[in-house]
Amino acid sequence: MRPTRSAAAMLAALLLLLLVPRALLAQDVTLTSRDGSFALDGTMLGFDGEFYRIDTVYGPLTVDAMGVTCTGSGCPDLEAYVAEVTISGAETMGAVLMPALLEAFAAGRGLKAAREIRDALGFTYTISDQEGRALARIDFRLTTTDEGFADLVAGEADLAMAAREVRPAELALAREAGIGALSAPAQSRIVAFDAYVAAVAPANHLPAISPEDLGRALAGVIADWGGLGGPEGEPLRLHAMEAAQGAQQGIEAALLAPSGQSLSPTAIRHGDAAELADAVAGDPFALGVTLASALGTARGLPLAGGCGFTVAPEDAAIRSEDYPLVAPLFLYAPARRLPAIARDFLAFLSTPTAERVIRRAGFTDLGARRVPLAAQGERLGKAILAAGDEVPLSALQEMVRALEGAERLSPTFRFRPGAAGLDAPSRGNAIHLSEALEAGVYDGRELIFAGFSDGEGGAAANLRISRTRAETVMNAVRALSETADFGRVRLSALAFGEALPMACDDSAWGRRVNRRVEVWIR
Amino acid sequence: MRKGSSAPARRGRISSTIIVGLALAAAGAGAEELLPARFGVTGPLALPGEPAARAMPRGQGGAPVAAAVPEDAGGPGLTAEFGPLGLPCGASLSAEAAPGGTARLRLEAPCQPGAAVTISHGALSVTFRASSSGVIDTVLPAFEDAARYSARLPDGELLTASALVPGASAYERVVTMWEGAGGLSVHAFEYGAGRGEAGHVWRGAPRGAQAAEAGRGGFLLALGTAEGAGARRAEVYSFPAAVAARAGAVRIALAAAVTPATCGGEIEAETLQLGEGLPGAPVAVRVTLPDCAAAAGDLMLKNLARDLKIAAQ
Repeated sequence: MRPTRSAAAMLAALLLLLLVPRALLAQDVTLTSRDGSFALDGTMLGFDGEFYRIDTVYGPLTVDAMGVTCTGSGCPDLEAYVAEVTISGAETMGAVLMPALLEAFAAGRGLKAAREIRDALGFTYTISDQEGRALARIDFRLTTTDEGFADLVAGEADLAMAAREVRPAELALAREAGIGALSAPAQSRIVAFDAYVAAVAPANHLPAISPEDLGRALAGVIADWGGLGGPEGEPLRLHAMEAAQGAQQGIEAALLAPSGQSLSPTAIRHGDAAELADAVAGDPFALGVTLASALGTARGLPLAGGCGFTVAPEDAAIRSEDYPLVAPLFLYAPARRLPAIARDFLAFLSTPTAERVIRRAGFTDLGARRVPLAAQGERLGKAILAAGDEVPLSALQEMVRALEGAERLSPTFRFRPGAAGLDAPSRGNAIHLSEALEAGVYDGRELIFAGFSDGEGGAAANLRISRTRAETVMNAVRALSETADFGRVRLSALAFGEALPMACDDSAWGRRVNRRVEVWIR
Repeated sequence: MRKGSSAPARRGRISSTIIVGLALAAAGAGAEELLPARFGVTGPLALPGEPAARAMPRGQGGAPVAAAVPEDAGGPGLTAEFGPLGLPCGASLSAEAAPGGTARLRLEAPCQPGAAVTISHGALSVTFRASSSGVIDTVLPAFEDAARYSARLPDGELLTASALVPGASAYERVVTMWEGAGGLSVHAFEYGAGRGEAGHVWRGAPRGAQAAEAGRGGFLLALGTAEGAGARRAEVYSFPAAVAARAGAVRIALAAAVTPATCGGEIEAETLQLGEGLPGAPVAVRVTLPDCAAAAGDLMLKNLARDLKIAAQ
């Protein structure tokens, strides 16, 4: 057989290696090609069941185990190989969600999962086949998002669980450590959505709260229920999580930081989101912000967007990010090859089974739901009431005609405040939607990317902006869907400007909710 | 020695398969009167021949068979035919629907008084001690509307029974299982209830299936009566999620008792959560208990089982 160009180049590289004096480090393995023609000495760094990673005088090399024989004290036993995977980071993800997903993954493949609990913050799963042979040990360290990134950078974790996006400083550290660009789609994925929710007792009848009022209550500026339209003179008992909790940091970043406020020192602190919710549920005069997944018996307050718009923290609104306080849960991976079982587990996370497990664990999955036009009467009614000089009735009629017979899909694309880039949940949605397109889920259908703007500025300019956004998102999804057959599914972009507001434009919150690209299917 | 059910099917037994098949077709339509009972078993229905497990493979849907009695063939002789109370030796298992998505099981093995019998249902497997007259009378959860049960007698004989339990799959279940002493107990805190309050359901305040039927919440079954090393025990918390009148949540904690006998050691158990149409597989759990310097009491594991999210129906 004639060697290919790349094989010849590799052979040349390997021959060159043999001519160079050996390094002084402990050479504990020799990899010899099957035909014995050349050999490579080095120190075994790892084996993932398929590939050896060895450190040589030329730095770390990855070698296919099938092509070589390994001799020396550092050689792993190929038959007895057990994949070792460490998952570290946010407790909110690691406590219930990730174990439930891992157990479902194992059960779906006919594998057995056994869990060993070390302490409150650590446990290990052993995944075995039906004969009882261990295939993988998955170690969980439940700490915080910060710690998860630190473990990833230090090489002590293979996956980091994060309740927030990676920060620029962490990105830089990761790049320095040689584990790649953590923000790249190949290295990060959103597993599920959670949301920050203002919680009150079921016996508290406050109908809704605006994000601004919520911020003032958290800051202690509003300390009386009268300030929220409730009974005057009734002190508001504020509850919060411990400062070290990632969720608490996220809540303060979303609700307090933009207005330069900080949390009231009188807040009663709790160890986690569930504890907070349970405490609030028992006290009609208590208020706290918790996670939707941990709400329990407490009542989640709808957010009032002004102008009569409210949005409740319910599954459909979290899924479409129409509810503005969505908290995505991420997994970050280093730019190195993970063991096959870990890669399979990551692929499992976007299956319909995983979506069911995510919902059952109390979180919102990324799967697309359909909402027919008929179910959106309230939003249309408000649009008609708001029609006037800027948006004439004819524009609304045109919109309804354009979307007639179509259904809205839940994934909605929104943008970073003050930037053209998509926000984190929307990037997760783009990847999820492209996976569905590649799988042929929408074959034979038309996907309409419908751009909307806020009402700031002139209607004509807003129409232009919304068209640019719709086309940008459509092109991004198309580019992500590498293997999709666009002969079978049609993508189109439409723009409607400020025609269909979902919130009031008189607040930054409202404008952000209104600036969006919806996806409709026909 | 009596031949257990592990004996291969022999010629001449095919007819029993047919009888079971007939029973499958006729059960639920007054089949109990159609087929003659044998061995004097007073249960609703007793079939002769091969254990029904052979005729009705597990994992296959089907109408209920109230009871099945294995053939007494291959026994050591006439002396083994009657027990101490003069009852025929043939063992039988019957199952019938009971409140709260459960089934009442009755096992009669007159010639095996005091026997330790492991009764299984899906992934659930529990050991009971038969009475001095060889009877086990107990209630087990039904994980499916058409629930199948099997009982393994000490001599290896396998009995099976099925019951049609309408609405059984409407329950959310939290199951813990273990062997021997120790284990994990289930604590359910319904609708924000605190420890020791009315909505705290556990072994010490198990409530009853009737409460679940009346829509008052969930209940706990503590299962297993046999002692000893190989004896299996279980706790099953059942909540009627599909008929709940109130939205909210049930927080679940699993507790391991830390005593002078267990401190510093490990306990092993299995957990299983069923409901909402998702297949549940048991997960083996090993917990390291705090060392003996720590105060004795329960080690509460809050995140080992997922909380139940209840939507108002």
